[in-house]
Amino acid sequence: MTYKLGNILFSVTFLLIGLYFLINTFQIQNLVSGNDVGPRAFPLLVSIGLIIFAGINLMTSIFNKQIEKMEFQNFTKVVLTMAGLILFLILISVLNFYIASIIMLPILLWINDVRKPVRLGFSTVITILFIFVVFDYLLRIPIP
Amino acid sequence: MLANLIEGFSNIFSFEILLMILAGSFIGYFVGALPGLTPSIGIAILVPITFGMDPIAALVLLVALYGAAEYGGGITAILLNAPGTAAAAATAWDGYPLAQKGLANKALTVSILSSGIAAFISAILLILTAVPMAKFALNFGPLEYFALAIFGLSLISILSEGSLVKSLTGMFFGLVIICIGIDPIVGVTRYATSGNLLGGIPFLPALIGLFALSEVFYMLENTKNEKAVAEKVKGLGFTKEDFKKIWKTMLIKAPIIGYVIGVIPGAGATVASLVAYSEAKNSSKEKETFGKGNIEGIAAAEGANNSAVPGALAPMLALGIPGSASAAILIGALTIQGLQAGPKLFNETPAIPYTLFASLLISVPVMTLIGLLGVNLWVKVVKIPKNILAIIVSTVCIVGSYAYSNSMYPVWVMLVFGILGYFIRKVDVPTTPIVLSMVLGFMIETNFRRAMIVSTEGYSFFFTRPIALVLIFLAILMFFIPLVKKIRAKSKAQKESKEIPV
Repeated sequence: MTYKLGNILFSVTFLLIGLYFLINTFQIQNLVSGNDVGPRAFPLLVSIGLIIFAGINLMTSIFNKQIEKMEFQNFTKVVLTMAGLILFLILISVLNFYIASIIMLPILLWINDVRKPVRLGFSTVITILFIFVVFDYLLRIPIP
Repeated sequence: MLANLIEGFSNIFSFEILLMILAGSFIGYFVGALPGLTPSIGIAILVPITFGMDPIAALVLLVALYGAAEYGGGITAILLNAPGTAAAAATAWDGYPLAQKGLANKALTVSILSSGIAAFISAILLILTAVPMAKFALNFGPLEYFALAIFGLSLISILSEGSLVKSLTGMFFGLVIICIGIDPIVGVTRYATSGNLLGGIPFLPALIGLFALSEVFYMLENTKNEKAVAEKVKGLGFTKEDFKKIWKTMLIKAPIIGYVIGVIPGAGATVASLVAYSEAKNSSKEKETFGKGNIEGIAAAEGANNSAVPGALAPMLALGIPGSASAAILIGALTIQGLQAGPKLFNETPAIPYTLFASLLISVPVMTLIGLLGVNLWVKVVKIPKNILAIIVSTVCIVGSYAYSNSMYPVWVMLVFGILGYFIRKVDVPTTPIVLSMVLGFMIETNFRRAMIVSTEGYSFFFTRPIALVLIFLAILMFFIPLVKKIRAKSKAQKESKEIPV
């Protein structure tokens, strides 16, 4: 993907976000008392700001002659890790953190080239132990 | 002030606080030594651990980490020519050549001593200046707070590198995001009718995603880096002659330059180290030796970047204005503890800022000692495989975000912002404006509307308050000066390229 296309995609996404918020701003109940500008004014102002600057960025990107490519090294691994993390969160919700970690940590490490079984197992155990000792045992922070 | 400071000292001499100083320093060195992990990322990762802690212990831990991480970047800059933080880049210019000459021990001792001494002097300057600053800010009403927040937001033009349009797009995105939930004045719902969104987008999980998780994805891009090779360091290698050569820089110039630049919101440790380095070079009789292993260059760069840390704490504690990404996260950490940075902190809970001041005076010498003793250990940190480290960090991000409200909602927010952060950084959109606007947006809207409610004369009320007027004027100036500078530099570069004969 070229840098130009990346910029256009970014601008269009943020333009759409701005438009979504702008349209929904008019559904905010505008209770105004005294000189108060009401709960609608600030969201209206900032969503217009987002549309304006995303629009400027879109225009400058379209007319930009840059053809250099964006650097995505190991992109498959990065995307697989993102997908793995989504699955990790789903498993945490369904099971619990520790069981989900035993399943997902080796998979995430394997995706990222940790292939030796000993290293894979050692890294998983160390991570889970670290979370247990620091968060659960020492600081008494609830674990999902 | 003295009574409060004595109370602050009595608070830190407990096992828990001393442990926090040690832990913060160790983790800080670890974070700083790893290229890619910045002090702000380190603080973001550690904030969730502080949720259940006493506020003083939490703040001491995070500030000790902040200081040590700024120094940790200097170790790898000297030994590997790989600055762990941007602020340590100037350290590498003379540190690495000196290490190449077989004098790594001398370079490290100079950098650690000047960091420690300069940060200590800077901490004293913080104690002397933050209190009057906070007393002055006690006169502030909603209008002044609104103007102060606008001033904070104007720093985006300084803090952001690259395209200003992209930074402003990020800023407005952050401002839109904080509108989700319940309106702060009349309680009307905005963009959400039910469910978790009614509580808004939680700031800290979003921040952990933008800073820490997006960095995890970047780490995974370069997992096959060459293994770092560094020599073993023996002895201190520091002589009396060396001290005579650098004492002015170490004791006077670097702390003052670092502190003053640190206080200016938006400038930070990187600018401080560059300014101090160029000052040391300009005033030196041996200008030609700079860049080839001059210890004065190391002392200036390291001294200034470490003294910028107490400097950055001054506007954060006294005014509630985050002058850097790290300070923005520290404000978030204070909010989680139910505390509000700014003059109220000094007025209502003086134990917090004064204990922090006292802890700085203790943690800086501790940090120096740990630095001198553990050099070889920090070098080994660089050798941890990035792919394993990345997965550990992402797991800590998950657990940390869950701890925010003991539910999975903030964890999903963290993941969404992490993925978003990765992609927007690819197109050179800085994440700092999003974080700054999320910190300051609420302050802007709430105080503006409060000011309007109490005003009887409408918008002309703004012209009756001189402090607010000055702050808004400064905000405009802060916003446009870098813009003018950029345009000038661009036209100058264009002129020069035309003058070069083809």
